[in-house]
Amino acid sequence: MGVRFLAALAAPALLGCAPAENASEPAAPASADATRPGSVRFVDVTAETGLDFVHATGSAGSYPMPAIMGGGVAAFDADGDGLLDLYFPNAGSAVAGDAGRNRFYLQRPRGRFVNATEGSGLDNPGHGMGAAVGDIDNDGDLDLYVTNFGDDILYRNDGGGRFDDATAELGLATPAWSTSAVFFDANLDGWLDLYVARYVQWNEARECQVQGGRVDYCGPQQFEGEADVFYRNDGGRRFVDQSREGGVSLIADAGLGVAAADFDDDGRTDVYVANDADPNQLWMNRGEGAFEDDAVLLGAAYNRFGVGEAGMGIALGDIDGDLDLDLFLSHLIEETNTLYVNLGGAPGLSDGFDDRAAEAGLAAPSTPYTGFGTALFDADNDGDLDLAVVNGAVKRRPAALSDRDDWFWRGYAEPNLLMLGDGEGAFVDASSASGDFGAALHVSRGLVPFDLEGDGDLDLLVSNLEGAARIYRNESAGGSGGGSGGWVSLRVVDAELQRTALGASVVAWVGDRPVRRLVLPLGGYLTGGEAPLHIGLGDAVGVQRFEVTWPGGAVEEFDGAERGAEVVLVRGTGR
Amino acid sequence: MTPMPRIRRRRSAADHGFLAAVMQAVRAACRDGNWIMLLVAVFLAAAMQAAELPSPDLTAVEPRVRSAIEKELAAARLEPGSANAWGRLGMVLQAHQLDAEAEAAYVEASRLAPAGFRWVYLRGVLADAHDPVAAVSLYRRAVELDPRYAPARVRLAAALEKVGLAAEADTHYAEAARLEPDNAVAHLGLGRLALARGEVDGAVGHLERAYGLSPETQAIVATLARARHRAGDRDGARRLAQAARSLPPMIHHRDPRRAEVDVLAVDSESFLRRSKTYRETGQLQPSLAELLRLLELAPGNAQAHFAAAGVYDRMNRPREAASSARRALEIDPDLAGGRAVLAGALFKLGRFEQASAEAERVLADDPADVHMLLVTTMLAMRANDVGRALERLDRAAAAGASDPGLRDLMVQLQLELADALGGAGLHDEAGRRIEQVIEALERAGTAEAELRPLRRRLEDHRRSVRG
Repeated sequence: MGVRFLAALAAPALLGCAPAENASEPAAPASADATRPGSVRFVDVTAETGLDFVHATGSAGSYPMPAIMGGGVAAFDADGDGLLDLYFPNAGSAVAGDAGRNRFYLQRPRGRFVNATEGSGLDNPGHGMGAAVGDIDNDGDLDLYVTNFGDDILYRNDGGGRFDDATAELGLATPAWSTSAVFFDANLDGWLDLYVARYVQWNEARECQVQGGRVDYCGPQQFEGEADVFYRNDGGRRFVDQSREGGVSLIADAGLGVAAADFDDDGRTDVYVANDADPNQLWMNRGEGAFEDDAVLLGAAYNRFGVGEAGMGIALGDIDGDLDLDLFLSHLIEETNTLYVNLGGAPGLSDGFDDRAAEAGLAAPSTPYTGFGTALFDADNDGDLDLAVVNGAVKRRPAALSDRDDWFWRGYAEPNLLMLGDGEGAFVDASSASGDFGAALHVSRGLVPFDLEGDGDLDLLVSNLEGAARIYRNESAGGSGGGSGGWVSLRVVDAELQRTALGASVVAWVGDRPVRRLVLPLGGYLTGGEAPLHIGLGDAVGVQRFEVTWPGGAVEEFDGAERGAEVVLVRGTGR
Repeated sequence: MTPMPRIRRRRSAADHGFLAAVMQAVRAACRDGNWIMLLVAVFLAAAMQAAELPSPDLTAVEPRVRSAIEKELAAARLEPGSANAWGRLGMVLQAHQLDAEAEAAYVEASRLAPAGFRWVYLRGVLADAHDPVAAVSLYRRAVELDPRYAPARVRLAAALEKVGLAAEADTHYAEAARLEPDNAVAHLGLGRLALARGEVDGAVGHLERAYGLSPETQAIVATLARARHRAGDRDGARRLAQAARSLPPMIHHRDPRRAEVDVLAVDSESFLRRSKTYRETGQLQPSLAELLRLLELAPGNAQAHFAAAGVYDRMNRPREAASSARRALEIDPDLAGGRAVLAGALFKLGRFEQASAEAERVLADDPADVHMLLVTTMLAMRANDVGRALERLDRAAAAGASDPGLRDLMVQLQLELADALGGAGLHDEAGRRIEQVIEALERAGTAEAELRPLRRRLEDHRRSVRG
């Protein structure tokens, strides 16, 4: 495995990792046009890619709560060929027959997806929700944890895209209703630990009504919450449930989204959990697998009004260029999506967060829809983070927006949002001018930005409930002033651990402008995976230098790169 | 699927000529001072302008909801020129979340009575949920019509915050606080905005005021925790943050105009929701009244019986709690939590064997049910079965309690068992239990002053161990 891992690293390094000779050119300031609606357009190219996955809930006509909450996706390089492959959890054959089977697609060749479920070992019959991806045994390939309504499953990768069920062997039996999960190194021992968010103790006998008696899906308030689970990875051989010792079992809320990152720059990875109608948790890592929930103190538990919202998906990124990590949450219709701006502070002594969704222009456009998958990414390569949110109702809309044929799901379909950032914390709603992405009406759940064609702009994969997954190709025009600018793609790895250095922080100096990005797993809502870091450069010719802060706090500097380079930063090879 | 509301004026394009003639007649009557003709013309104009009634889809609603809505539809049909009839129709539609139809009814009510505050205001409340920009406009109009109604100022301020107009929001919160000095929500708004501006001391002042007025409101306690944290009072902030978690989530606008809508909802969910709201704010009698009203209308509603059992339990009326829980289980034997409430009530009634049987049934299904583990701990302690009590309590501690009430009970039982163990000379085990309690309380943010007596007891046991 190790040889394959290093070989995979070597290819892009040889192709494009040379230091840029002209990388000291100052970055162009973000053009006013860069936030102009219409400057970024997406075209639905699903049919061209061969991706034919159709999610099935098996429940039209009835209202089992798990049916409306599932539909996640994983995107990761399963077979070590450098291309992202896809895994779609589905409602399971017990609920939806053959149409409810999970599906696994290999990307082969670039831009084309082939159904590779048969023989992959990934044909989990459970009621799938989402997935997390990480190399649990540091053998150089990515393993897959599938969350279920029911027992979860850990699939161990043999390195060639074939998997075996190692759940029992590794002690990872997680019962009840799991939703999102994330791998991260909590105790800095080099092994990826696992946090699993869990939802509610659903009782199918409970029937819920709206609008004076019309039956619809229940909300989480009708049920007891389920405590989350934290597993410590014991040397890749076994996972030990440390939920109680770690403190996370003290709270039983309706968890949906989860993200692991160092929110207070103390070198330890913290965990943020978006809860549905409960206050969110910000589990600050106190070391040795112990956590303390500081979400209320730090202003990230409730919205600006002090009210807990229906937290679904999470996006992380530095939206205002001040080099700290801001936090975005997607929410229910009639609530606003929430932007928690990081107020900074000394390492380990965070000043907390402020809800500035309204000031950023992110509140009003979101109130008519229920947001799920979300991602901060540079849609137009201007160097500023933009935002996508995929929507889909959980209660039937009074007036359907879609004219799709099936009457049952028509009332739940909603359009997606694309918000273009100015790099200073403000966004412009570009949804209606974003092409097929903004025009599509589906019941959407998962969202993954990734470079489908290797052309340097980020395309979007969207997973939908009771419908086909979609791939939207980014067709932003090239050049400056509102189109697609330059870019570099980064992989940040710890060769000793034979894996991506999850939790590392990269500052790319684009001229005299520092751009900070974190090495994190893919996330959002029920979404997992690993993809290269992508940094838009605008009109700059390249990156002058990279500064990497590795998990634990060690800092290393690397040479820069020209625009268009696919760079691998290997720990211990810089300065 | 609920269809789009079919709302349109009766007047069509063909009516324009007639309308022009009527308006001409009005102008002539005014000019000539012919008041009878003026009245006739105005009446004709109003009648011609009346909107079509909304036609909500009532196919799936409960019969009493349909009846309530049809009654108001009939009233509006009978008096198409009555703003009150249209407004009442809007209210009953809004109460049952038929928002688009309610909006149309309010529009007509406002058209008929343009100077009426109520219908504009309720339209604002409707818009607030999905279109804050429209809500701001409607609330502004409402505040113009009745500048002294503080809840409208508060809602306008909140809507202004949602669209990023914090400075204007601040002036309306301030005016609301002037009109109603005990309006906790207004003080919360002032504190929140001051905190966002970085004026930490000012924020703490406003928020302390709000906290003094409404100490059981989660939003106030949570925001005060943030402010105190920013002010450097980390311990005080942590205690407040911990307390906020167990408070009811909603914040109560004291808003009589809005409350008049809520009480019109007659579907089962609304009774249960209102009851829950009352229960969470400690208003047990009104909470029970809502459930009893629902049970009059729907005697077979298991959820209502179950909720009533919970309220009776909180009222320390175990006989009624047990009876309601039993009824709920008769109707729905699988009702989650029903058997646990029954076991708790039977325990309080002193029917220990029955309580034990019910609790064991719950534990057979869910061995980690903390509530039942604690009930069986108490039963074992009553029977002087210390071994069993310890086993159950340890299982409860291992499962961990997220509910603050259960956490308190667990602490209390740990301390009682520690006393019993100490009395039997088992100081090492007694000390271990007190250590666990201290650890749990520290995690919960308990103040050091409250922990001091426990530390003394721990030291006593340790001294006894040392001999």
